[in-house]
Amino acid sequence: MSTNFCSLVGGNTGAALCGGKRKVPKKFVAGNKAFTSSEYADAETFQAAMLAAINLPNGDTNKLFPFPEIFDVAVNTEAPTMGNLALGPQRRLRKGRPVYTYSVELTHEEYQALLPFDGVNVPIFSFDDATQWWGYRGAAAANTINTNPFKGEMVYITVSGNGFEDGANAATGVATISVSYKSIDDFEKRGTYIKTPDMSPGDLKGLIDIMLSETQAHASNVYKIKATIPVAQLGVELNVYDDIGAALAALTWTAGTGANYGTPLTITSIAVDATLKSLTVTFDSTAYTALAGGTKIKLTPPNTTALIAGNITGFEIGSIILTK
Amino acid sequence: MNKVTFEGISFNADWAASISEKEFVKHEAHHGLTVDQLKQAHSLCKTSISPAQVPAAEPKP
Repeated sequence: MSTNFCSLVGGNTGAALCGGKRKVPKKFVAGNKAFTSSEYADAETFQAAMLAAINLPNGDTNKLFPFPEIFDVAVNTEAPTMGNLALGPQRRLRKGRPVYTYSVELTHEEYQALLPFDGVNVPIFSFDDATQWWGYRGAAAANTINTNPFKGEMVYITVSGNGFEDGANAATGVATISVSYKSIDDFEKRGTYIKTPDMSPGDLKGLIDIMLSETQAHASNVYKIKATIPVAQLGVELNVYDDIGAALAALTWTAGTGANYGTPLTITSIAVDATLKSLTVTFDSTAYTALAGGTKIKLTPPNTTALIAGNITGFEIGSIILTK
Repeated sequence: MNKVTFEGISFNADWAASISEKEFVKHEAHHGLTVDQLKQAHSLCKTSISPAQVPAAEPKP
């Protein structure tokens, strides 16, 4: 019979050789995706699942949003809270939470695209310079090795900076992204990783939004639709017609009217208009004529999955509401 | 949806096969194709759909 609890304080302190450890972060992706054990069965399968999650349409619960490549890391982890009684030893009262500040080089448009993440709590997966993806091992009904979901670590993000440079210090003018981990237990006890030797930060690019607009007033059931990339610079229009106009015309578009735009309106043809650098979208004239004046028509472009199948990668196109 | 691309124009073949050649030519006249080209496009749409679908009969002259 033992007279103390010393043998029960902890556990064995050995570990398998050559295991991974958190290295220098290069990128992270934010979102609610939880990878199943099938998806992380091996590096190639996980890599495909990661890219698929990035290419999901905006609004999909499993979508992941890549952040820019990190060029500087500052460790701003909270100091532990210490305390002691007057005659007693110093004790740690509370562990400090991990906090990291990342510096990134961004265009004004890229910075504006990140602002929706400023001040939000979101799960993230971090990709380090050892090609390791870090997240946390979520508990499953049976807490069995390699069956738990691989989830992002919950953090609080702030986005700031990207102002004028001072001409003397390289650190000025950059954007700073602060990542504060919300749970030290998740970070330490549940932290886990998967190695993806074939991945690099350049593989992880966020989708570019394409906006649809009417090029000119429509002629009855025939509409001219332009697809452009919104930019911050005045007097500049990035029309994607030359690059992907024909490919877009060949894909399937849909249209609807009524409540939630649930009543289909047949599109009879889509053609390219080289003069206007637009698409000519024609609706069934019989159905169109039957609509009341002022009826709203939602024109829905191909989704990201269809775009990729049509060899149009890296973009997501928003719908447009037209008026009869 | 079945589609047919002709002269760079993507036509809704299901819709095209449901109407007559005359109606199709009139409806899609704004693309700048000739009448013969539009008739050819209509024919391609009709032949592209599955055999189970019955194309609209051409009106008797």
